[in-house]
Amino acid sequence: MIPHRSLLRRAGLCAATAICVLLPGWASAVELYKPGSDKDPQVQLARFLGADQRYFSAIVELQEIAQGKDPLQLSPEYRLELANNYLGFGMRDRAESLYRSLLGSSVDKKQLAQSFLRLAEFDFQRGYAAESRATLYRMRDKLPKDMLPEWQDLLVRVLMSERRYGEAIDVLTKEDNASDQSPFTRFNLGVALLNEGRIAQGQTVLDKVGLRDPDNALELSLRDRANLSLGWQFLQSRQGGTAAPILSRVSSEGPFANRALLGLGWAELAPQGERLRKQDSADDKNSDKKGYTTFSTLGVLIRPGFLDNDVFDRVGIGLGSFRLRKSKGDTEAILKRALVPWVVLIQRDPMDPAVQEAWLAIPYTLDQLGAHAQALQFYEKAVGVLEQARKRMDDAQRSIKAGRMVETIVRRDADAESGWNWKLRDLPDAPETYFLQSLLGEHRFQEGLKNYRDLRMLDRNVQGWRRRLDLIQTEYAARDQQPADADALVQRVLRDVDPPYAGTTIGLQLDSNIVAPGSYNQRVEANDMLTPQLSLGGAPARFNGPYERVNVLRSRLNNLHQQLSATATQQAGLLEAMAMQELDGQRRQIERYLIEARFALARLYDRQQKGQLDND
Amino acid sequence: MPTKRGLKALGVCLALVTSCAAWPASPDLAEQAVKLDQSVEALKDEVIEFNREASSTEVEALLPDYRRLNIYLRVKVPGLLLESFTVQIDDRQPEVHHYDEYDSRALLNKDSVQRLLRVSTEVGAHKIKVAFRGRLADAKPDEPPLSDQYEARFDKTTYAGDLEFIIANESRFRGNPRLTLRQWRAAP
Repeated sequence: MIPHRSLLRRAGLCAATAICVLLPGWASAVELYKPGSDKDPQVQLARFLGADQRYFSAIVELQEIAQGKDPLQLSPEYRLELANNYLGFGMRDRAESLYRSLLGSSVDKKQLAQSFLRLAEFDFQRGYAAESRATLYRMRDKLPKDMLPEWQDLLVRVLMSERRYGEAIDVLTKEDNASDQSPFTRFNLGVALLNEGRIAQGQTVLDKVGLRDPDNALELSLRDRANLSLGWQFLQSRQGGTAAPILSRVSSEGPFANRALLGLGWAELAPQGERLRKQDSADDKNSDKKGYTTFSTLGVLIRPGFLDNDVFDRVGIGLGSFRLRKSKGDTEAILKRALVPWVVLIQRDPMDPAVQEAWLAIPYTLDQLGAHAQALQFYEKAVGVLEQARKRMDDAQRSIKAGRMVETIVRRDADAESGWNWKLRDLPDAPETYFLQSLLGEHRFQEGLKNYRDLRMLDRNVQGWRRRLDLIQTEYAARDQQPADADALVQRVLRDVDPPYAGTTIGLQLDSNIVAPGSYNQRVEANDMLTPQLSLGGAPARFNGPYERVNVLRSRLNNLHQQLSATATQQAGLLEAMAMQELDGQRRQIERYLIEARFALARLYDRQQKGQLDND
Repeated sequence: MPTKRGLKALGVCLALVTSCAAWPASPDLAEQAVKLDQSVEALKDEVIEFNREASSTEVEALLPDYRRLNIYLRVKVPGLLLESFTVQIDDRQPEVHHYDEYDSRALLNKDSVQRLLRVSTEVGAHKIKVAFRGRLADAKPDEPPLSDQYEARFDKTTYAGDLEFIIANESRFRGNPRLTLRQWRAAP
């Protein structure tokens, strides 16, 4: 038998357990954090917003913690977070001063080095090459060893953008770490060597990049670019025999295929040159023997390529640059071989300059072969194709002048706060899009687009406050909530605030000259002390509560809206000017080809009339 | 045509990665671009300052600190991609947050929290109920979602309060994700 008391105890325990299960428990004790410290939930919230690429919101949250104080007075973690978000939102000056304040602080050295690298990358992309270079050289001494390749890669890109090729080569070769460098860095080394006049070394480096087994689409594209650059470089130095197999390595899918096809034809006609010896760069004596891996190469129809004038400009090649190599019995065979890639090429988009050039190269070759009637037909077709291209160019220029281009490009993710990290993910279906693919990929255009996007986003943010400010005033003026318990608030203040005399120690000392009590002669005017003169004080000059502050904010809002709109219009204008400049260049190219086609056509007709043409 | 668009986009990326020279072209436009860039940065600064002031005015007017309650969420389960999180204070209407993959991944970032709510609450005892639903990134499509709910009481004092809900594994090496609660407050 269970004793009565025990039964009761057991019943009590059961009841308590049931209450625990049914009723929610009390939250744990409150923990304290220092505002702005790493434990501050608002700092951690900013970290989440930053990871979500909501840099603008993150900055506002962090600024709220500072409450107008200089951020330099807050913790290193806070400053790093704020700086990272500033940079993410494209505010390099603010970011830089905070990063610099962290030198010698408790922030992880590698984390700080990565931040400076990002700052330098930002400067490079925004066109501040000198600032980028200065940041990179400044951080060199304290650079963690494993970040050296990344540092070299960026510094070399900066130096090459300033045409400081010799310095770029030194940066890449004096550390003797070729095996740690990415294929992109090696490509840049090859280009720098060529530009510095160290042709054999440059060719060897590019050749190695062109033979690499690519791991992804970007590396494949790089390999194509290396082969295209190298192939055209050999063409320029009259080494057609060497150029042809290298141009054949360019994969059939990709932005470089059209120019490779064009080059392949010219390689047949160019002097074949002599066998070349490879020469390693200073940092790469142990050449790897990776074989060429087969990918689908030319001969398969692909989409039109992208414009990239630098290859053409550097090589300085056009129809007039070539002289048919001396040939005897095999001339006809050579000319026919040259026609093969060009015939494939002219079936592609005629807006590509490589295709346009092929349209001229074919009748030129046919004329050389003695097929004058066919040459005439092709020149006439070429004129038609080029005129059509010029018309499409006119449409594109008109579309840009209509002023919708920039807004159309950025309309996707319009409210994203990703700032500098925003990426153009697709292009609008507009007449100008095709011609601008190269420009759209350039930093100068991309960075301008980002600024334009940010301005539009900020304008929408500011406009959104119009309604919120109205709401603040309305709700503040007509609040139906009970006022706070004044006693509780006073108690809170008394708990939090240390009295100004707390901790003061009063030192007493003996003074032998003090007047003895009762020997004062002067009469004390007690009444004066007890009845101070009171008078009404004047009203404060102005109140500065939430209601009044909203009025001030509203006028700032209007002002900001005007400035943002005006700057966005200027930014769009600049982008349109860049686009028009790009299209003007392409238009001039089309017109040059048109003149050449018409001139060649006229000469052929002239020769025909004079009976100088042999029968086909 | 999506394929064509995709190729165009890829082309843009490729051109970006492989481009060597950053700022060729006309020096006139480059100069204009730099000037505009600096104006834009100055304007951004002004808008941020405006937002800071407007936001603190809003909070002061509508959410004075003796009534303010912030509710945060932290996810400490590697690979847990949240789909939704529900918060209900007392008998108020439950607030439901839905997550896309990008948001839920951002929440997995080390030492980061999301603020779910910033509300006005009377001083005194309150009840809070939360629940989540999500999946592990490597979960098979037919696996049921992971979920948990939590209910607690807390005292809102005259200080602005922070409640932080944490989703963590029951034990270090295994177990289902479970919710726990921490209370924070800024030191005076």
